[in-house]
Amino acid sequence: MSRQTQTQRREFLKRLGATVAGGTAAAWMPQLNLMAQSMRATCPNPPNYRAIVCVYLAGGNDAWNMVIPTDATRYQSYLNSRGGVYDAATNPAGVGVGSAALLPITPSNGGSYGLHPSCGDFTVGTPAITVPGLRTLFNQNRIAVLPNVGTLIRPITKTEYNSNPALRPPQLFSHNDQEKLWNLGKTQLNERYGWGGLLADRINQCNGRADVPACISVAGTSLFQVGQEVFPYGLSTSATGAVGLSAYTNASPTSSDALRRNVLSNLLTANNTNLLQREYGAVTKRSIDLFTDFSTALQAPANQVALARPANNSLADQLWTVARTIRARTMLQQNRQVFYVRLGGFDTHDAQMGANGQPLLITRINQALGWFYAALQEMGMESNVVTFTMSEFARTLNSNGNGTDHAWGSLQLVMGGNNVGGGKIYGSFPEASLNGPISFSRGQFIPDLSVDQIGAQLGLWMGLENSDLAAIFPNYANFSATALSGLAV
Amino acid sequence: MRRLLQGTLAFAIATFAICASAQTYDRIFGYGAEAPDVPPNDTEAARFLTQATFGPTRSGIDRVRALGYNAWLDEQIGGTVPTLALPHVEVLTDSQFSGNNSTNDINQNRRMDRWFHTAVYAPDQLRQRVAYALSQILVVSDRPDNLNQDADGISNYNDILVTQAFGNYRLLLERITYTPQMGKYLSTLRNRSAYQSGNPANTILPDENYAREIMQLFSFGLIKRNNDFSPALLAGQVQPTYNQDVIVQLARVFTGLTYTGATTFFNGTPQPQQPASYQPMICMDRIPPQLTQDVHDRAAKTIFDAQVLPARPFSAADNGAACRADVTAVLDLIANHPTVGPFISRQLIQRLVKSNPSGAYVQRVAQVFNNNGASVRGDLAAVVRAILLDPEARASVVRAAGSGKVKEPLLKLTAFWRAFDVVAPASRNEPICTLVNPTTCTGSPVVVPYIPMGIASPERNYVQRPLGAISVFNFYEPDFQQPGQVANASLFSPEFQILNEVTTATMANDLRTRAFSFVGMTNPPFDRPLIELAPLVALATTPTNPDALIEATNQRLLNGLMSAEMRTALRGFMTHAAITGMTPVNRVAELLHMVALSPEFAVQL
Repeated sequence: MSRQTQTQRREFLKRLGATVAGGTAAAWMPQLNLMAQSMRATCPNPPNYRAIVCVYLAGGNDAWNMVIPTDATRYQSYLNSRGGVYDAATNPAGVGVGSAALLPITPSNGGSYGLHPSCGDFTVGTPAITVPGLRTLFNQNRIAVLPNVGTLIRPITKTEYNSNPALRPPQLFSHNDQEKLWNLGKTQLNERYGWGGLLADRINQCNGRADVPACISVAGTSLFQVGQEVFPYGLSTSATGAVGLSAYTNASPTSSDALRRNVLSNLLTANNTNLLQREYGAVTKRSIDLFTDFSTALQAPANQVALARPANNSLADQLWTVARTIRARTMLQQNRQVFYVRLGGFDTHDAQMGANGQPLLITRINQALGWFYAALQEMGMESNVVTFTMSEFARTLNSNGNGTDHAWGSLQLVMGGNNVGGGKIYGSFPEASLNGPISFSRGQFIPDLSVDQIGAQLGLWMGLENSDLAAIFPNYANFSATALSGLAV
Repeated sequence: MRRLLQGTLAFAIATFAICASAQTYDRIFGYGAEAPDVPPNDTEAARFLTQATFGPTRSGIDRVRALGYNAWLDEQIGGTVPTLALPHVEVLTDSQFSGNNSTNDINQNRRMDRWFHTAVYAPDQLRQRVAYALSQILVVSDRPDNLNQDADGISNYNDILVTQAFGNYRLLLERITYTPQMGKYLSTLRNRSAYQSGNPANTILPDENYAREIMQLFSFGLIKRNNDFSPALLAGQVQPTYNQDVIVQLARVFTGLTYTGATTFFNGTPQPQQPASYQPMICMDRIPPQLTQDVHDRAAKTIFDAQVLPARPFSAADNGAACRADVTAVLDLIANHPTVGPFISRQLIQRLVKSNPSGAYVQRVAQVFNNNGASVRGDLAAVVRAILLDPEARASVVRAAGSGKVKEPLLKLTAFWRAFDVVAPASRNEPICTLVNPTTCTGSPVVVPYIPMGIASPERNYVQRPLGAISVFNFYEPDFQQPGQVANASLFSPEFQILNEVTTATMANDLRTRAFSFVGMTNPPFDRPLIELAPLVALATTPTNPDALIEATNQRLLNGLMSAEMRTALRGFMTHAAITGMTPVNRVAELLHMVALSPEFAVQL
């Protein structure tokens, strides 16, 4: 089927509605059946706003240093497997963090843990305002910790892993493949639709404007947001969010800008045979068409965030665009949105523990997420948004001399207001060990929770039916449907 | 009969060609008698140059029409001196360095100037284009902290790709393995065999970074493939080329590498401006001077396809022999893997010609990689010739759904500049201190010239940065499929991975600035090149008749392939009152910008 705008597609489907119901159209266009079903979702009436924000940490985050068990036994296990506390002079090969520096947290479901020292409160702006960091937010029940999440076809024991390679997800330890599986929520690498996009397909009808994409990325095109109908739309961290074509944006129909815009639109929508030309035209056309609405919305005084942003923090800058877009939800007539932001630099094979390594990375996560939560509170939307981290894998518990290598099950964070069951640890926090019951020789962990389970909880919160889950997460039936109950409510 | 006649004709042309040779005869017959050696018209010549250079020029078109493809390739491959970056950059880096570290200001700006100047003006266009393509496969980047002040080192890496662009893949693999920039980028520098450290003691195992990426990205990839790039199935199943165990074993090979000036393995870190910073790393088996502690793992290792590297003895007389032997053996095995041919060939085709080559095209090129006709494997010059002379590359333009490729953003800029004979600014002077002592800067300042190109951070508007990708996975992946109509047609479109609503606009805005930066403008900038619009202005004398101007733009930017639909739209644009009222040069610039934004310029067919 040729590509059409979403509006045209909706009209097309409406007209075909009777035929689809009668079953005849499905015979000669079988995908119609799927699409008719894909449009089904519950939109609350009166509408309320909900959004999920995917924070992708690119490179494989060494999250075992973000949340650390502090009871004597498990902390010692942690130190043993990490080669002791890093010290540039006396223990340069160690990758552990000293317990004195950790910030204690008290999960409501028990256990003694500390966050990395970079997870504290911080200040922004002049005069300085203190912003709660991850540690404070956790103790206020705003952060949920998911300690051992990863890609899985089904739960797998170490014995099964060793004896039956077919049970393993494909291409473990490969950056791009594991990132793809996290994006897909499935374990077939040749699948084309990410779970964020498939979710957006089903809840997009809750939005008032079909031409404003439900999936918005401030970090380029990610498979995560590619659905069968909804594709990611790109914004930048600039004041306008959308980037306008200079000399093409004056809205006045008699302006030279309008003339250029009209001529260019003709070129962009020309009936080229070549699909690459057509698609380039479509992307550029979308950029032009939506510029005015997005730039107006993101520059409107009512949609600005008063709280100053942390400096030198690309993640915070991206979340600033997300925050303004959420503030502009009424202007853009959006009720259900899927956002994607990204921070790189986590592939810490080298120089992990120096000041410019992991401590800086975690500082950026801490300040960006802390700032974003405060920005949501400013607009009273902190309980309408779920923010969650993803990363392709964790890293080896033990060191390669000054860093770590690729692993598997990792720790992720989920943040929200009353809509997130924060202040607790979900699932089992594995005891650090090399070649332990669920770990391999370098402390790579077999996950206890799967990507599917996070995706399902967030999808249900966004308005999916239980019956939608299997289509988006084909392996979902292999996992506990209740392990993450209460995560998003 | 037809084939025989065509073959005879081709032979006749070859005999009378300026640089005829028996090899030319073989090449023409080898790649199909349908492909003519001489471009039949400007359009075909320009298409060839779009694939083989940083953008067609009038003189380039004339040259390839006069010589024919084969002789043009001969001239580029064997008859043109390589343009290097390092000799130029290191003099400038020296000038930026002073003994007081706090005032060092070594950045990559002069390297950027050099790269763009080379891309636009260097005569060895094909070599530079291939080196740029190789830099997107064998990735090293100046983005990480440990490389962003290493302008000399990154320039040296660039020059390795330039000098080996028509060399041998195996040798290229060796040179990049030993360069300290790769050592820093993928952490082989000072990687050690397993040792005990920490309290309580922990076994520190070798870093796995290079072991993984040299297989996954630099040689054969994740699965075994046939020469036509299709997966090589076993009992209907895809066959992985390696697993995590292989990674661990291979990581043990890349241990013991250190800086050339090291005396104890851990020392010898050079200053950024010293030649030792880019001279090849050396191998050590044990730490001098005691020679009791291993840094290279000399035990036997089993790598992919169950191939075994034997255990090697230590020799105090040659402390590094085992490391060198292991690296040599592994590079031999990697380079000889049957999947390297299709894996590398397909990507080079994607960089130069089209995103979706047929399996047959990849196979023809992979076969040349495997054997260049003289029993040599990995002859990159032969591979490049095979790519550019293949009937699928030389067939007259096909406006099919899946033909061609989206141009890389930076190649749109260089093509735009070259199409309009862009004039470089006058050279500027960087003051240089005569280095009397390697750590201080004394003596009379001497000026060192460089030519600014005014684009120190191309990634800002174009996402791409030469030898400056965000990750070892390059700017985009070979298998990226743009969601929607492209993916639905099962087409690959790597460059789309960095094209979205933001980047198409930032590129468009930068190109507008370029279109309006012309010789003769009011208040011209002196730090960037200016396009020469005089020949086009001469065609713009009658505002109400833009046909000659539009056709000239068609020839220069679209290789003469402008569609009728586009021509009509442009005619309407140029004859509109808002445009006719502009000065001639501004009218020209408006037209150039409009064409530069068009889908027909964005995609090379």
